[in-house]
Amino acid sequence: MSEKLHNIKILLSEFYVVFLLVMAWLFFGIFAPGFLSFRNIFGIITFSVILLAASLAQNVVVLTGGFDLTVGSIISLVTCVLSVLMVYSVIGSIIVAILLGVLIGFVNGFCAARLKIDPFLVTLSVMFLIDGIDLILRPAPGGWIDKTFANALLLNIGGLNVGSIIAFLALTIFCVVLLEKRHFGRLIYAVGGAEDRAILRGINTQKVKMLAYVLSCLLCTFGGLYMAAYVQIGDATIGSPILFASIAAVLLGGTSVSGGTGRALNTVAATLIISSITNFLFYIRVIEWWKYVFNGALLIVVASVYYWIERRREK
Amino acid sequence: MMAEYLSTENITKMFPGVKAVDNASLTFNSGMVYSIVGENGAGKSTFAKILSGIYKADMGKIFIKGKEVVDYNATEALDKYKIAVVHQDETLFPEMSVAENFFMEVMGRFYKKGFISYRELKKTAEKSLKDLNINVDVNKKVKYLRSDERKMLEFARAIYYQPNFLILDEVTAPLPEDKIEAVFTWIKELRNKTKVVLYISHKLREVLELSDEIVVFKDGKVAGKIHGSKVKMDDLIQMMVGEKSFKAIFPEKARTIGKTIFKVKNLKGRGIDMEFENREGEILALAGLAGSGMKEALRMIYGVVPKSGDFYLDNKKIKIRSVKDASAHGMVYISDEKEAEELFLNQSVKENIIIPSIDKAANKLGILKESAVDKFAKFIVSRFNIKTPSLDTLTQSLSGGNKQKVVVGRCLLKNIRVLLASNPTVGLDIASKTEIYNILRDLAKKGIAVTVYLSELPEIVNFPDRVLIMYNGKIVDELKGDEITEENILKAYFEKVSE
Repeated sequence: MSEKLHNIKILLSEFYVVFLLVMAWLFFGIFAPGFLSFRNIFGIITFSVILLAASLAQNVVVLTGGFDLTVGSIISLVTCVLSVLMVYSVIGSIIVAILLGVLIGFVNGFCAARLKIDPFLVTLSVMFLIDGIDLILRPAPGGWIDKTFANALLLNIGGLNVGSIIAFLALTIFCVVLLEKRHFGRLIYAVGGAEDRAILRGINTQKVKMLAYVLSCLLCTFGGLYMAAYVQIGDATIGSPILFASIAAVLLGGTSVSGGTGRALNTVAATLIISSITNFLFYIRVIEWWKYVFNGALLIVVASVYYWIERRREK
Repeated sequence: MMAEYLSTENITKMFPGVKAVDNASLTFNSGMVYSIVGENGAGKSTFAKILSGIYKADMGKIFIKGKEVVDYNATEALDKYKIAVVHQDETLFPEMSVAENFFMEVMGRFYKKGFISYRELKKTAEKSLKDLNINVDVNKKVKYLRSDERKMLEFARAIYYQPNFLILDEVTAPLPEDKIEAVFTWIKELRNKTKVVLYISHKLREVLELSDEIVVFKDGKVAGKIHGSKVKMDDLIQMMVGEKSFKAIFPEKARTIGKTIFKVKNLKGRGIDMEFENREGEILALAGLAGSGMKEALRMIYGVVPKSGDFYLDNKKIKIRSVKDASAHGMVYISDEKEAEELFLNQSVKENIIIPSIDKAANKLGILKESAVDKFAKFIVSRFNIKTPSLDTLTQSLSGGNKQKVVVGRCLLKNIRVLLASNPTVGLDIASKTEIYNILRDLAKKGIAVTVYLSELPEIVNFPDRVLIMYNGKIVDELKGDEITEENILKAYFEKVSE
């Protein structure tokens, strides 16, 4: 019995961001009746799928001790590429988008891991580069996205985007399993936790880091496909706000910026917290401009609670 | 006729500005224990890293069982050639569990239907540790282990791979005497199983006890090979450093001992319960089996860890509630984890020297006078023979011995009364050790109360004037003068354990 209690304690301490999410939901539910309705929570989750892809991508790279500032730009890039090429071939345009994602990931990884340039600088430069290409492809929002493609991804049944939920679950399971149950995932933690030690163990740290960047870009490409399905146009700037939200989610999820610690499930919970704040402000009809103010303020409140818990946990 | 397992031919490795290993040609036969000895920077660890596939040699060949092998990495070294290594530096990941650490690089072997089976992983780790009589919980995160437990874990890892060639680089440094005993047993077992063990160590007593053949490295070159049974400690030291003899490593003991300077009474907390006093001119040592509370006691006195107790400095009662209090009364604590606790590695040597006594180099407005900083730093650097290219060199590029000289030497700038040190020479080469002993002796002569926790037997015998043996947080024996012999110390250690 006491062992069971002990296990629950460990679970609580490992996944406390999940409990923070539940607390946040209950809090919002009190202030905005209807917030906790099935339809609204369902909506928050479907709405989160793109940010989730970017946050999990960011998480993988941050775990290695790096940073990926290209996450938002890749999402924009995917919408632009699809909106230009889909008229010729739906499948073809998706393949091009994926290949581009891999290529960007490879460039990021090569510069950061192999050439050992600071990942912040590398991905910032690449971000500018992609933003430029986005604008060349799509100077103004527009273009055409195939309706069947969009429907296939979103799977709208009775006004609910079932497809997004499936994608949300798939992303979560994929990342959790990869990071916790596969050798590659554990190596990411090892390399991020103590690279010099990993080298002494004969671990190919450059390869691990490189693959982490490629994986990050692939996850973002996936997010980009969903973005295209949602907005059904190409837009060169639509992904930009996602970058900062993804960083916020990763940090709120307890992943250490110095690498090596943090759980994917906590990143997922943190992503939902961030989406819920946006949704809550919409729900209580905060005027447009004030939204940003409240958004920032609420994030600080949640972060304070989080760090308060964390500090107590350490004791 | 013994079979040759591994041999090297003219192995050379260059680092910017230095030849770390220079034309090393050596042969290692099965069923033998080899040792490499030499000063820090003599190329021992670099040689080990080349053999284990971490570094690639710039020149030279490696043969295994007579066949040349080219360009292998660490994984191949382990899998194909059965070369395992326990590095001097730690290779464990602090945030991960013992079980995960055990198999980090080969977790793929524990896949069940494509996923890591942690159950299997834990079971195998548990069994491997149990086989070697190592008691650690495989679920514990490595950061919660003691340093000797971590070293034993690294050992168990290396032995798990059933190596034909096991390299041990300075492994006994964090280990207490009883664990060293166990390690020696394993080494001898491996020898009986016709494996090769390559033992790299500063501890010559251990080298002499174990080795069939001793290789001396000096400035990257093989300076000599000696048959293990024919050599004496003094000769070995001579080969390594050129001149000094074993006794000359330690400064002369105190002739006269004066009045009490620092007194600790009723020190209690965390299983510790003790009292002692430290007299003028005297170096007092705390010794005991690891985990007996020597280090904890020093940290408690210094205010790092809460405690209760009465403290007297020059017969006056003082209060030490925090490190700040201790420091204000002129106390200094030097730890064995020096890099982590005491030096700002990415700052210059002179900044590190001046930091504890920074007020001295500042004018009335609190602005640092660069000239004063230089003056003080230059004094300490020359006084203690700290080898650094310049005062502005980053501290991280100094050798371990010189880093420690900075830590100990800078105390001279402060008006200190009490110096507490925990294993101040651990991991240093003989020349640096000697210098640290001399500095501590000098400080004691100047009337500073010096209390050190020492873990290596030769040090305990030859350095302090009085030894307090601890067990389970209490002082169980006191040795002074001629009573301080290896025999008496070990007797005091183990008699209490068996009681």
